[in-house]
Amino acid sequence: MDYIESKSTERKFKELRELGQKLGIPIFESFIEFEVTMPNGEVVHHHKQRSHSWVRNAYNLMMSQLGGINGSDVTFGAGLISIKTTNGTIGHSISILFLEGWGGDVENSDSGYRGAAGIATKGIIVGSSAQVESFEDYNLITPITNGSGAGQLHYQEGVVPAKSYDIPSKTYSVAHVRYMNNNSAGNVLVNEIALVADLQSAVSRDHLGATITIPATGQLKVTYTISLVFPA
Amino acid sequence: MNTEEKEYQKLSKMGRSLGVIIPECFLEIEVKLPSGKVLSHYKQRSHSWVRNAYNVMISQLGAIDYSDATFGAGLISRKMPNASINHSTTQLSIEQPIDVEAGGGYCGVSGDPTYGISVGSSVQAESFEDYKLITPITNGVGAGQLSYNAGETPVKSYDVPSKTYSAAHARYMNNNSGGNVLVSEVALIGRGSGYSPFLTSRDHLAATVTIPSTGQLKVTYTISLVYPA
Repeated sequence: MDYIESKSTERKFKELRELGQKLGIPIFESFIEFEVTMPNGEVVHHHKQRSHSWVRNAYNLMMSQLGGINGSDVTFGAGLISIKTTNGTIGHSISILFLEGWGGDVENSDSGYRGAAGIATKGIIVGSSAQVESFEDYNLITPITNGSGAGQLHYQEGVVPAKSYDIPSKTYSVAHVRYMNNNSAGNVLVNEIALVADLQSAVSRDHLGATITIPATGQLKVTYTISLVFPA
Repeated sequence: MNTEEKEYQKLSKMGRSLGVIIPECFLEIEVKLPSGKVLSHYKQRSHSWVRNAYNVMISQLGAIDYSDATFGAGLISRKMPNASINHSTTQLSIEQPIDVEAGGGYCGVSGDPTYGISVGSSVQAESFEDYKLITPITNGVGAGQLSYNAGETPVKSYDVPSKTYSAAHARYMNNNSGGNVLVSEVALIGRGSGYSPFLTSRDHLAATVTIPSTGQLKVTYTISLVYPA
């Protein structure tokens, strides 16, 4: 597997983590791993990178939850706490902000970041646009839909998140995985990826540095790992 | 500017540059007499998000349940002020989906110090494992007690140059006890799901704050998030 982040970027993240731990400030990190495998087991692509791209929805969720304020602004943008759903509508309520349904098991099928089989509108989803990422993104630019036609992928149900804790670094990690199969007759090209919560709100969109080609009969596995460094 | 403050500012700048969410928190203490005379007024950073707060964050952004039956490193659950461990196969939140700016969330109701901003008298140093005030100051007019007002509606603001969104939560507490009341610790307590309050931050104050009889304490917690754009 290739890890494509530069050493200078990694040094900055290491410094950030250590400083956050020292000062008692929570530091989130996020990684995405892509693996393309053929039916014979041959791995034709495998790389891991940082996800740099929490979008405004994710920041608003944290501000509302940690700051104890409502997500009640009727518009969306700088200085406003609301959410923008994947169809572009603004979600707001005189209530603390949630990106998931209230009171349900977010690790269940079709909840949290676990899109159900055949559902390409939430969970981990991929697209073909090469448009650079923006903090204002609220959906993929050109989503790859579910199916077996040209340019489509078959989305499997998101896997139950794998939770782990690394004692030396005091880091808690959650890995969300989804498989997508290319049952079309040709290549499918992936250039962008998003993490979309249950209430149709993207929290992250990344434009990939290089196009990933999924050949016909190939399978794409995407792993999003979200980590939080604890001070103790 | 002291070294620590420089480090906070560096962290904030690095977070923005790297696209990492960096929440900050400040605590302001003001003691006044009925004459309007200010006896004490200072502001400091709150250094003290506790494990419960971190668990809220990873549960919300990581989309996982707070389902561990025990509490501690590597576990996502919450520890209640009575030391019991609460867990559920759902997400952890500081409040249910209700209005958190009027009687919910961090806005404690009048006479109730069990949630919202609450104060205590212990000088015990803060710990990441704190889950309650060590010696809470109860509501009342007896010796060592304070009369807690309802939490103020949070003041929300956005600073364009620094791209910083802030929410300031304030609460007034009146000393109607007839003697001094000494405050050495401050906490932020969310009302929580099922209206079961749990502590998210506890700060031990560097110096005890004395609230004389008839004096009024105002505590303001300001929680900020620097946005990248």
